[in-house]
Amino acid sequence: MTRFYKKRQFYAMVLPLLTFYLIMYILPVAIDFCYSFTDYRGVGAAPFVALRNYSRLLRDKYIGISIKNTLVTTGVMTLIAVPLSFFIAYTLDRKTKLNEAGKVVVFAPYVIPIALSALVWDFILNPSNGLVNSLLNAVGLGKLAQVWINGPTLSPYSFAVVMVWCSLGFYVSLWQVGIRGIDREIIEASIVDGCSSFQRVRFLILPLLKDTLISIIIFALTGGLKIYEIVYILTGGGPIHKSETIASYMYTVIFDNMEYSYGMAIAVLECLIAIVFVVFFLRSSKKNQKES
Amino acid sequence: MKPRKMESKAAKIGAYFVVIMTLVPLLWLVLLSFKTNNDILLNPLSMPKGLDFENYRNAIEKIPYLTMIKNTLIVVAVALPAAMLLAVLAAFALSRNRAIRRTVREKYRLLFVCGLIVPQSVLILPIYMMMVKLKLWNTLWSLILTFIGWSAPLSIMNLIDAFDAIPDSLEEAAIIDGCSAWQLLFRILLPLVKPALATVAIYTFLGIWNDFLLSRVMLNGVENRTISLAAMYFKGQFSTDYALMAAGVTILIVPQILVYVVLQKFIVSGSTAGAVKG
Repeated sequence: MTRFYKKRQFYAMVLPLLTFYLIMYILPVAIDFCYSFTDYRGVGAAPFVALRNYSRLLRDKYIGISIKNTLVTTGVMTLIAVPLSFFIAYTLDRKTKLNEAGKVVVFAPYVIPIALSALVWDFILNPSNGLVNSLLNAVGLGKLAQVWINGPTLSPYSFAVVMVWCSLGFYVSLWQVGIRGIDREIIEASIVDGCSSFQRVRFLILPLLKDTLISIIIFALTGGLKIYEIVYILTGGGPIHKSETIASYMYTVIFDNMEYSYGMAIAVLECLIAIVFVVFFLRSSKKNQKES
Repeated sequence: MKPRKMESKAAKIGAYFVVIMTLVPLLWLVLLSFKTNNDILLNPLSMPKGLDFENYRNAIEKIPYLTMIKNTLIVVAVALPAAMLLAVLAAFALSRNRAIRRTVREKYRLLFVCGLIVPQSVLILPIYMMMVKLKLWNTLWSLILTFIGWSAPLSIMNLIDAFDAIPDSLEEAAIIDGCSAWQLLFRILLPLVKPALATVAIYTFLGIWNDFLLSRVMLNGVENRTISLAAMYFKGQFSTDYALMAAGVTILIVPQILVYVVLQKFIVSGSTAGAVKG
């Protein structure tokens, strides 16, 4: 068999995709890294400035705000979406027509481009004539009406809700794949043994679905880091950069201020955060697995 | 048994409540699209006065839908098959070609998988600079080439797993029968990895379809606009005309939902297969 396959053939098959991958993934990261030590503004020269962009990162208060907003949105989104998606997948597990239809509905927003979804949510969250505040005013709870977006504080939480709407169905179907993979007999045995449904979920089903849980959390965390369209459409990062996320602030710096190099330093920071997220989470989940 | 039954009924009601809440934003959108702008601003909760398609006529007149759809279809039609063909070749070689040591092939695989960690938003400025240098900026080619590269990590991961799962005996038989490597791949192995191919196709398609950032940075000017940029266009041009915006968004969303409902089994299972794997 070793004679059947040729080395030349291997390279002929791998190199085309590898070239695209290196140019569109690895090279850009390298460019980000190199330019982050210069002062390039889109035209002219790129003089070397050593760590100046990075020391500016540390002093830039908008970076702090952006990181905080990104973490709030990602955290709130994960905390809502992960349990809620499990709840739906578990409750609607039996294959009836109604249950299947329910899951089709929940998945639907996933196929709408996020930028359009954000626009749809503008009609809901808009403080002056959006659905939420109009309803609250109409039933006499006007006091509860809030500046959901574009105000000083609530935007990152609203982003999280929109993210949940966009991605919930995807997580539900991931859970469903996991739940369908569990041996029915184990579940039936637990019913015979008199487990309450809470006990069954907590001590039997969830431990069996640990891999699913881990992938869903990784999807949610990395998805949260990417959040951009929702910010761009709903608030544009405002007012005065208060609702900026890392990605949106990076683009403000790059395309509004034309500070390419500083933007690339932010890109390097974003990469580092992503790596820390993934590595830290994989580590801790592996440790857990060893202990149990 | 009684309390348990009530419990599960409460859970069902809760779950269906969430399902209905998912629909609310879309229903609200459609409702708005039949109202006048004045009604939306002054009486947000009023019902539309009959089915008035004025907003839709307006939207179709003012928004270059055909150009957007045409451009998006061009990008998908070129990038999707190209990305899949390259991924199939690479995954086949990485999984099966024993002329190269396993450890070496494993290193190539890892190199591809690294891409999964990198957020794509950090890649865009450097790619923009490259495309400007190559004079490809503001052409659909800039999107097509980028999407082919971006699809690599997930495609490779899914396809290698699929090729790995095929038993060696099948391959040996084909080799004894005198197949070439290309024949082995396209005649014998490819039909066996169809489910993984479907998954890869859907991931790649949704990646292209959902993209906003890349198109926003790469494309400038009406003639090159794609569907994903429609949101920006609406926001910029009609930010005060809610009625027109609602109709404009509905026109774009409804066909997508319809296609999804028709293909939903395929899409849901395709997008989740291979995603759960520790």
